[in-house]
Amino acid sequence: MNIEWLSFLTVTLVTLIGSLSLVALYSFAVRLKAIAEDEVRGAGLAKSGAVVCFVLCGCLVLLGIYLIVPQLGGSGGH
Amino acid sequence: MDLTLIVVLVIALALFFDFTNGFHDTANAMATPIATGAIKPKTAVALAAVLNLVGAFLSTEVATTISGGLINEGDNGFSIGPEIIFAGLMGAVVWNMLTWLLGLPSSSSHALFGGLIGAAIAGAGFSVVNYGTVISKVLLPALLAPLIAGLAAYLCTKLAYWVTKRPSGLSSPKRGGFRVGQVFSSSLVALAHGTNDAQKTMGVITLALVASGLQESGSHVHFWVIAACALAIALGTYVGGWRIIATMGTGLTEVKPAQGFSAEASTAAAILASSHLGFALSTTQVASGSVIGSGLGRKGASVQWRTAGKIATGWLFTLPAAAVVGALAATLTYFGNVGLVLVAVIGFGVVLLIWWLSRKDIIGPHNGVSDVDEAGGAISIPTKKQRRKMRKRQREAERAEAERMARELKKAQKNKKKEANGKTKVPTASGSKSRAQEASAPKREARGTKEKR
Repeated sequence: MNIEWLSFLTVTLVTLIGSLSLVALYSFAVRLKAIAEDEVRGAGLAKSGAVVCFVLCGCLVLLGIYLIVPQLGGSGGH
Repeated sequence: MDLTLIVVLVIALALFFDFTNGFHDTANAMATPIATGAIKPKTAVALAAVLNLVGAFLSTEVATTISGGLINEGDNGFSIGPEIIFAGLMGAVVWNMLTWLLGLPSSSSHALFGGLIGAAIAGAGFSVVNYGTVISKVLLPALLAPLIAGLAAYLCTKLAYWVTKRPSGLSSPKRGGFRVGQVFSSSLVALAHGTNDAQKTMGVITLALVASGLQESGSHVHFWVIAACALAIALGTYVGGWRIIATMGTGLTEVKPAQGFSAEASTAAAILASSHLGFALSTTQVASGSVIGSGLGRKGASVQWRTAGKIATGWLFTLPAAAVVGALAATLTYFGNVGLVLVAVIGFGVVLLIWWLSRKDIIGPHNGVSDVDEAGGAISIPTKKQRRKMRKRQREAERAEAERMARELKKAQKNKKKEANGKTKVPTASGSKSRAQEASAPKREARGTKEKR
């Protein structure tokens, strides 16, 4: 019997890293947006920071999909 | 009976299974953003349908697992015929409809595998199933994926709350951004659902094509099969939407936006990663694992072991039960064409009966609420008010304890003085000391439990 433990490790790591970085980026964006909303000083900076975080978050999702679809040339675990 | 007619029957039944799968699982993905009002119900359902359609085209790894690895090949081609696959599918469909009617937690994917395995064993003996693949690509992922997703969701929830925590008194944490974020995270879940669940049907259809000699073993999934499965699951998702809208009022488990976002991000990551490696897992179970994990990540959460146990039992039960139904159906095919017709007639009869029964008591909480939502009930999370009350009670208990100790100490000192006046000094003095130690021990314990919470 041939159980692919390496694949399980891959799934675990990818799930943890993927979801944690996604949530971290989105949370930072939410926090920066909240700061931008109630502080007059530095609001512009916080707001642009939030936008950057949101965009990075979107990029991360697209990267994940890119890696999965074989037609796009991504070849993740294989 | 013509060989192609049975193939057509298998394809039709497989697509029907795909349809019920989409129908059953719309709520898993889209219930939370609808509940928080982040998106309109009709838009959400349409979005979920489109994403399921797109997701089905993304990968074929899972389909290859099912069509290529699950059933052993004999010396001269496949040792099972399409009628066995038909029997297995019928077992899966009947079991799925039955659990849906009774409101038992079950997994469509496990029903499918159970039905197929049972039918294959009954039809061609125990050696026909490739147990190595069953364990490494179906059973182990089924056990591990919900745990992995749960762990990820737990950590994500902690992280989300930690990052967005702001000094109290200064301003509210303002986590409203997560409400909108849930539209995107739910969409990801719908996409992931399409990649994993639609592929299972593709795998079964391909298996039937290979078994009847219409396709070479080990070749790629045909495009028309992918397209048909994608359409069936999307249609099922869209039609299933009315159930969510109907059950909106019946009490979904309360999931905070930040928590829901974390849970959905973990679910989507776990399913997509598994799909890519060809693991066929139950999307419902992964989503349930995430919901429980993210619930535990909230402050003061505790597990309701009875509910969790009920869900776990339902999961364990599905595969063998569907296997038995599949095996029974496969035994009927020994009677040749008459048996096959019997399987078809009995199967469709049962499905129609269940459909008719389910129409009768339209929707109750027992069949309307999704399994994932039921998993949410396995965690109890105290509200802020309850937490404050609990802390207050604990403080009071501690104060009472301290007062009691002080009294005890005073008494001990009094005794000591008395005894000092008397003759026997040593033994009673040490006795009172140990009593004081005893009294301080529960306090330490109480503090320990508080810190844990």
